[in-house]
Amino acid sequence: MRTLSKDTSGLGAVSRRLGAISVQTRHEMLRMAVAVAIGLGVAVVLIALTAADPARALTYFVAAPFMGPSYFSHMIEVIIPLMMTGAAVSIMFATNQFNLGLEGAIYLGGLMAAVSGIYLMPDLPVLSPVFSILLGAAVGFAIIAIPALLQYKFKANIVVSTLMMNYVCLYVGLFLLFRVFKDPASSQHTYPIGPAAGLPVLIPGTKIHAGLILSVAIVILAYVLLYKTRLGFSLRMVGQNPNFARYAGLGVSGLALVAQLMGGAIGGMTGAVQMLGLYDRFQWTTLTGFGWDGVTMAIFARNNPKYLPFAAVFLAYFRTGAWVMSFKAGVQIDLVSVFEGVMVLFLMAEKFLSGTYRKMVFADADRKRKEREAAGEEVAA
Amino acid sequence: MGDDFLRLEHITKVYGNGIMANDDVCFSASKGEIHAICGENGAGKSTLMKQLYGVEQPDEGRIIVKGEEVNLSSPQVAIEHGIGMVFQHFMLVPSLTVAENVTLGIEPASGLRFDAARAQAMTREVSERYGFDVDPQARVRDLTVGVKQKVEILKALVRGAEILILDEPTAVLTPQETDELFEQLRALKASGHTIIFISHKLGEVKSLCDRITVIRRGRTVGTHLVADVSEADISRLMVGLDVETQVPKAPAKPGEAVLALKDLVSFDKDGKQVVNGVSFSVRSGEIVGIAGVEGNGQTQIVDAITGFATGGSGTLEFEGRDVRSMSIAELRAAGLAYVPEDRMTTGIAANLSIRENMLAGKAALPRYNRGLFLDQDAIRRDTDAWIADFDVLCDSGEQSVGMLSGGNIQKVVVARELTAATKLIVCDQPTRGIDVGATDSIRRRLVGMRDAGSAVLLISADLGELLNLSDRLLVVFGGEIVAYFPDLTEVTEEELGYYMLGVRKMSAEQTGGAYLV
Amino acid sequence: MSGFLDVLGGIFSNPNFYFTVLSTTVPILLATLGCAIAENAGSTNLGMEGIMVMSAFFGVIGSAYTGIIWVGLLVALVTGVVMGLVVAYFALYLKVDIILVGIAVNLIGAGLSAFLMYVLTGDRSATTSLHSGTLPTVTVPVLSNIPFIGTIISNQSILAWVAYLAVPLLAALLNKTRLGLRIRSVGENPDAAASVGVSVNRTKMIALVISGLLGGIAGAYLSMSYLPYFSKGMSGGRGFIALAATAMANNTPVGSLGTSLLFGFFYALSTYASTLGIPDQLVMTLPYLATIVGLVVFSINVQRRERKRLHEGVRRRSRPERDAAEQA
Repeated sequence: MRTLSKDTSGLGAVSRRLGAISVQTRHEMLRMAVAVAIGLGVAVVLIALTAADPARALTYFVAAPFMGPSYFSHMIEVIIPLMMTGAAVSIMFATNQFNLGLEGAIYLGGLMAAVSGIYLMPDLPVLSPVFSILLGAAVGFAIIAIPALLQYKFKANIVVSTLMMNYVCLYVGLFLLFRVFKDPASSQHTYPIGPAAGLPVLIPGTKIHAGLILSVAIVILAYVLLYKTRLGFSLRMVGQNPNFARYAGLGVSGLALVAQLMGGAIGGMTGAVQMLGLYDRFQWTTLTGFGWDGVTMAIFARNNPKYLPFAAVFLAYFRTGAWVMSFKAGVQIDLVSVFEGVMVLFLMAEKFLSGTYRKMVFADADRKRKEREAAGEEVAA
Repeated sequence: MGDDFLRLEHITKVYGNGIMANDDVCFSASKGEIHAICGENGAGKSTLMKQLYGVEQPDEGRIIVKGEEVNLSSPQVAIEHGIGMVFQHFMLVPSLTVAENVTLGIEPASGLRFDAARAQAMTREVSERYGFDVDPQARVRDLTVGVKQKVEILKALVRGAEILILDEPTAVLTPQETDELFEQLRALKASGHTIIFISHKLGEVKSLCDRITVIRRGRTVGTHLVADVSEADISRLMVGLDVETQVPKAPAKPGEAVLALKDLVSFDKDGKQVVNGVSFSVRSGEIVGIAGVEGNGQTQIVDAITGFATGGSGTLEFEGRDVRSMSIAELRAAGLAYVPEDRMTTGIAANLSIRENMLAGKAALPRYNRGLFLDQDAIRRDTDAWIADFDVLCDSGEQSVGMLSGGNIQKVVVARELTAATKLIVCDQPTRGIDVGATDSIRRRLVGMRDAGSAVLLISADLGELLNLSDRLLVVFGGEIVAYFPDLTEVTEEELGYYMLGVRKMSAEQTGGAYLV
Repeated sequence: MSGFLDVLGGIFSNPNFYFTVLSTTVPILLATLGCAIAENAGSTNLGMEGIMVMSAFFGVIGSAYTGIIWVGLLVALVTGVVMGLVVAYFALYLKVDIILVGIAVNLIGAGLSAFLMYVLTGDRSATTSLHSGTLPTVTVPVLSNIPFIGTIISNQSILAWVAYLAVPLLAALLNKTRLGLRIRSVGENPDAAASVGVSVNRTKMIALVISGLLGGIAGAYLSMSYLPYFSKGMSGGRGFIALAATAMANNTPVGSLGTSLLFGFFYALSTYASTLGIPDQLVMTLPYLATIVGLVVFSINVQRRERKRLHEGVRRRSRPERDAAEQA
């Protein structure tokens, strides 16, 4: 292996370090930067055209989290479910399974955690939330197991079956909410959960709850799993090239199943955590949308959990900005979905900037050749 | 125009990695002729045909059709000039009818409507004119392979092809279907079509074709009237050794049989029997080579041994255990290493790093695990050592393997396989498409593994390699072992060619010796 | 129990129930047909949700601002076509995985429609402040007098007629036209199509445009027939149901009619659920459960057919060879 030259000062060093990163990665970074720029561009245009006071609205959009402690803490609050579902989807997508069924797992996971907090274990400190969250994970596991097993045994299309499963979960959940667990005094809430059943707030005065610790832990675990363990290595091989995985002796279908079950469990946990951290009663009447967020997160993080925190901060930052902008400057928050959708499109466009990629490859090959020649001269001299 | 309907003059084609696939190839065919092109795998036949069909363009040279120089920039242009290609892998849409498949792309229409009646009439007309007897309304998925091939030919004829290129057409046919096909081809010739028949089945070439052009290592080595040459002559022209450095080899010290096959029968994915009772063994400390033209059952034999194929009958034992009862993971754990023929689809995961590719299949070993986690230091240490040892040219072990050149990718595959605890190493075309340096080092490795006691099964299209490295040599033809050489000192490539091309065949007692325990 | 059956009988003998079934099925049918034609070309149009919601929204805007309902319909159709082109561009030419394109389109569709709704109308949940009108309904003079059936088919929206007539139209397109032949070949074996000069990308693009157009009609129906306004998230998951419905129907137009009606049936039934004493949420799960079951049955069938073909191949191969060997 060649070693780079020893000059470590200034711009030369920066460009050499950049040069040390492969052309492929550099091209992806460029593509990411351009995708973000286009997304921001679209958002800015929409704001400029529709806000009563565009300058003010834009300021909120791009700087809100720094404009007040409550805004900043809102951002942290938003990060929690994003990181968890991002981790879940990253694991599932690592095996190339387009399992879109987390919505159902999250919903029922939240519902079951609430039920646990109300009836099963309402008042044991620490144990109650832990139990409820684990129950939520178990529910998510079981929910995802159905379409995953159908694929394993019968090769039933996982995209379709998970989409349908989401609605089955929603309606079963709604049935349980309105017909079984509803507090008669309200129109659509359950009874409140027990005093010790919820997740404690970490920073008083904010709504940042202990779920943050769990979400960070899940992301770390997901990363360690995928990149530091044998199982994770096998999962990634299956996703990258199932032929090769089979050739290496791996059970491809079984591993795909395992990945989805893990994703489902984390999904269930996400629902539980959101429920126990932010609410004292269960009252969701629609699917939460965190499942789709997980997909967006995984795309931004390139399926690698170690980038999930960055992706989460990025998305949460602008979501907070949009949220503040919506009540301070009257610009609808739905703008942020457009922003994210546009970025997803350009981020994943393989052929995007392909002309630039080719130029980069040639430039890189030229540079390496010159380096080799220079090194050869040094040795000769 | 004269006698030459089609001429290829001084065609040269060089691929990106510097390999000269066609070197100053000259070829001509006349109207109403069946002209065979024969050559070993990798000789340059398919490259030549790709240029003739407009899929690729020559770097040098000209193509002249009917006296006019043409630039075949795409298959559409080739079709316009009357050149039609029948591929080895059918380009048919199974759920559509014959007429729909045949007229796809040139569909007769009245307004928006597809004129199914006229399509059927067109198909029937062409079909009857050349005696093909195909039902235009049958659905392609219900047809036998032989009929499907007729549909492919009809596709070309209906577009007015005057020159038909058939690439190994009889590889998938039964003997009866082959006879039928030949009838049709003769009829086509009688009506003035020119047929280019790519094949290495010399018996067929002799019975069907008028002239034969032999290609070897990218060059034409002769064009002859089929009547003037015997199968043995053709074989001699096709098969030849490269002058290359031999790897030094001490005599083998074989031990017990590690792999044993007896009367192995195997089917391909279409249900055709392609391995017809093969028996041989490979002992520890020896290299057994298998020679043969591609498509004679070697792939299925390898699939059966490496656990990729199921079904079939006969005994197949690895270290005394029935291979068919073992999963691929168990086979590997028992000491099977496999360097596959198609490294890109089976041998690597292109987007994973070199380290990760080298770790594949070994991740369960205790030395790479510390409790629940992979021991990254141990992995790094070993993979760095292998990269250096096998001379893999790369920026670092973290680089993704797909970025390397073909030769280096193969080195990664070989490094991974040969450093596993290996009782049996199965290598399928290990040095195909690789530079000289890498080739030499891989061959030396194999000999080294043999000396250390591994059993090596080497399948190769490179006769020089086989003659150099093998301790015992088998030749496969038509799914059977037709020759066995326990002693390679007297074997010539010429003789090997006769067996590889079906000109000669050894008796059962002679080949039975291949099975040693 | 007998009381339950009585009520059930009452529902099934009430022509209004079937009227509801037919009208509820319309958007699902259109979306399913759209997904079917895309699947025939080998593309999964996961973005159908987003296309429907965008068309529903822009249609209402077009109608409200010009005062002409037909302009609204036109705008909805154009929106659908444009969205189809967008999907084709990103999936075919920029090579984004088509599933991800669908997810992105759904995100953008939901977001843009809700955002612009507020910007243009000041409404946050539904464009009730606009008077966007509805498309005319159709009552055929003679047919409407037929007992029972007359009630069912009278007063259905003109788009309902479009939707049900689209079934044989699309079947004819796929099975009888040149374009349909190319679409099917591109979806089943793109290499074969390319080898005879059919432009795979262009054919897939046309299929996606037709898919978008059908989604546009579906969206128009939602906001200008079914209801006279646009509401947030109006497509309500029908785009996803469409994917399931077309999968179960093996991507055929006629089969899609059947599977769409299955959904419409359960949707309609859920509105009567209270009279049956069954919680309406549980009835709502039925169509989705039915799809999952149908999908499994379908997949088992596919596997069984594959195995049969393989065995037949073996039989066919070995017999003539055995015969020849016997003769020799």
